[in-house]
Amino acid sequence: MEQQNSEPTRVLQGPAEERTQIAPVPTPGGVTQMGVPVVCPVCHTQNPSLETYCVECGFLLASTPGTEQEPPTEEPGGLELVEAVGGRRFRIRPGVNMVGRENGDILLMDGTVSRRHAQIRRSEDTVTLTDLNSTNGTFVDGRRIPPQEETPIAIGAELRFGNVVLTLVEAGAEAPVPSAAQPAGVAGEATQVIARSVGPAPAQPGGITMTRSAGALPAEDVLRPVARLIPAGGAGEAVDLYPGPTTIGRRTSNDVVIAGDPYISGRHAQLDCDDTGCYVTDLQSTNGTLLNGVKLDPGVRVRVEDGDELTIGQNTYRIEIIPPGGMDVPAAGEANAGESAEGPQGEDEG
Amino acid sequence: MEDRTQQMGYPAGGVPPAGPYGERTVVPGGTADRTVVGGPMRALELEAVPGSRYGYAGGGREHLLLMAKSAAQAIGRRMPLNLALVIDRSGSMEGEPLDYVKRACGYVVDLLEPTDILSIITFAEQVDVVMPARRVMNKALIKEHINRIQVGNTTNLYDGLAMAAAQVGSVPAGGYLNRILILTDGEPTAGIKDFGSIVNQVAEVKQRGISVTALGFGSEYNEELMAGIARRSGGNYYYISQPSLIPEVFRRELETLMTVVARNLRMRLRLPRGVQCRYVYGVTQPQITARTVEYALADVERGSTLVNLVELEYARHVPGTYRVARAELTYDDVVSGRTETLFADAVVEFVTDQSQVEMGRNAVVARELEVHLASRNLEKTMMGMRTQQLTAMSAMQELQRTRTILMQSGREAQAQEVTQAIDALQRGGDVEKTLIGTIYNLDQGKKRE
Repeated sequence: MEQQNSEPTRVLQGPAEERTQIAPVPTPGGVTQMGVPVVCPVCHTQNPSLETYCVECGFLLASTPGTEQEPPTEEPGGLELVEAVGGRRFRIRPGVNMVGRENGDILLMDGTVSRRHAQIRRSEDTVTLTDLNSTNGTFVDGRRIPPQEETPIAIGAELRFGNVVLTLVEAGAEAPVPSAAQPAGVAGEATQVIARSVGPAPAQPGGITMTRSAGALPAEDVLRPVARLIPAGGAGEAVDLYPGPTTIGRRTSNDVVIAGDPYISGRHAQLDCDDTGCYVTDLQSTNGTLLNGVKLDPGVRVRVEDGDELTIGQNTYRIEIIPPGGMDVPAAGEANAGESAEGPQGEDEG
Repeated sequence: MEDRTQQMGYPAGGVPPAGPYGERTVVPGGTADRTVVGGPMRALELEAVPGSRYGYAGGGREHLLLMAKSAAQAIGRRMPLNLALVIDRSGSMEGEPLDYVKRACGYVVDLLEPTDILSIITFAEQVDVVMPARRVMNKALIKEHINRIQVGNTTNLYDGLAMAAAQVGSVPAGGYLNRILILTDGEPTAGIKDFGSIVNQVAEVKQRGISVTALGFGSEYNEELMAGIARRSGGNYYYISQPSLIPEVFRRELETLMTVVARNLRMRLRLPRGVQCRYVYGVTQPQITARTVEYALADVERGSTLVNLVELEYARHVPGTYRVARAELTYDDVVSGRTETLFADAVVEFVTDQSQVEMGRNAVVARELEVHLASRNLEKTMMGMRTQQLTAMSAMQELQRTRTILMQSGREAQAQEVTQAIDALQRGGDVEKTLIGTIYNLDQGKKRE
């Protein structure tokens, strides 16, 4: 946020300057309305018209991106450590990953972490953790592990080095929140995948499949869906949404699994539906979640209305809110004011 | 002008030219000297320079240099000081040391203006307030009080610091540069003695906007503790090898304080998606999150530059030009009299040809990285000597090598300190007390132009 009287000092190095000819318009007092929003060609974030660089990915908005060599696929089976405070992510590479305060692969700038604190060894199918005689110890799920001994660790394990807590997750996944973010029994890979509303989407590239895992089924006896995700273009089947959180992503631990689309993150987005309506939250996905063509701020819960279009990776879905049968809807208000598109397979645009 | 050095092993070294004196005697509150016409209205300028102007689109690690430069001509009125002198009057200070300390305190009184606030505290087994926080009006009377200081027995450093913080803190905040100068010649022997408690106390004092400058005198004090105190509070650390140098060090510290043009520096980096901060050099505990980095930096004196290195990790990028970091430096500007925020963008072009990254290397960033490696090297040398894994001969070679790097990267003052450490090593003197200060100064990243 720039202050009125402090014009930003823009320092561009050497030739880079020639390449960046846009007149840096000083943003007055942090005003970010007016003008035509600029959509970032790289990450599709909608930027206020006065921004020079994309607020999300930093791309110079007046320029044109080059072509990528390869598609942005995440390496399969990638693992990451997510820092509990601050949310930094550290990729676990095959082989030895040093954890420490200095020169580590997982570099933790905290006084309670030793210079060389521990090492994580990743082989094909196992991950082990070895404490390197650290001063303040290494803990797995609250238990201190003996030094100089390889201790196997599983996905979802909470590791503590000194005072720094990290959780081992599959690449792109959120660190599991101990609260009721997920219904019980959805832990990690234990989820059964039942093809409830499935079917390969023939129109989509890469054979995208969408499944709903069993764990997401609400525990109560009320199995009435409150909303539905309808693939745009009529490809594939609709997915019913039940009250409570529904996570969407590529990985099987999600409530709704979309496979075969490299633009979908392991844990991509979450829908929360209840009697008052539906909300969508982008779970810091790599390529973002778009609502009616507008990129959502990651981690921000946004209300969705009947007929809204949700784009996840290469897939667009129309949201259909199902009005509670029998009961009248008080709070939903304008949400359902319009006609509720009842057609099971929408066919909006391509 | 020479950098502030903490090593006082040479009497003539580092007597600053008369220039700063002229500026310093300007009566605070005067307006005539505010700014040079056409000169910068603010004390600092901020630059953000990536280690290479190209980044590999496939991802990788890169350094980012942040430079807060104080314009030499940015002459403003100096800030009035709210200063506490905390003097060790333990038994070992008897005789020459305490005499010189009294002289040094008298010197400080002479240098201060009626707009400054001074308090004087002594500590032995107990703490005495020789002078509560007052304006420096009756200098003769203050000196009389100073001359009545008598030696005691033990060293209650913790309570001495607590009292000093209370005195400095008793002055209504705002408009003053708060500083505690603590001088000791030994280990704490009374009251709370452990390193952790003392350093935490200092950190807490720092939260209240008060920095502590640690002056270690003689060969018996704990240099880890004294350097730790300075480090945790952003103050300075000095090693005083002989009593006769005490007044000179006091004068020098006061000089430093009187030329402060920017204080309470807080750096905040905003990172886009795809860029993560790995490491902040020379900063003890930065707050690093996925999209922000935040940390405090040392006060900046006129004519000096604060250089600060950060290591970034680039994720895979679609080729193109990106802002990889937006730096925001917020600080209290003595020249403009306001809290200012400066911005600087670090811009990198991501390319698919990895060799281009090398071609885009910035020499200044590379040199600053060398300096930091030199600092780590000194640390290693110190450790090696302490654990006797390093012979005097190989330690000497290491120090000489580091000195060369420092000379080549414009750190003459620190190179000189390393020279003194080499001398001390040859004489069998105290190497660590010098080097620990050199490392701290290098980590602070302060540079004289």
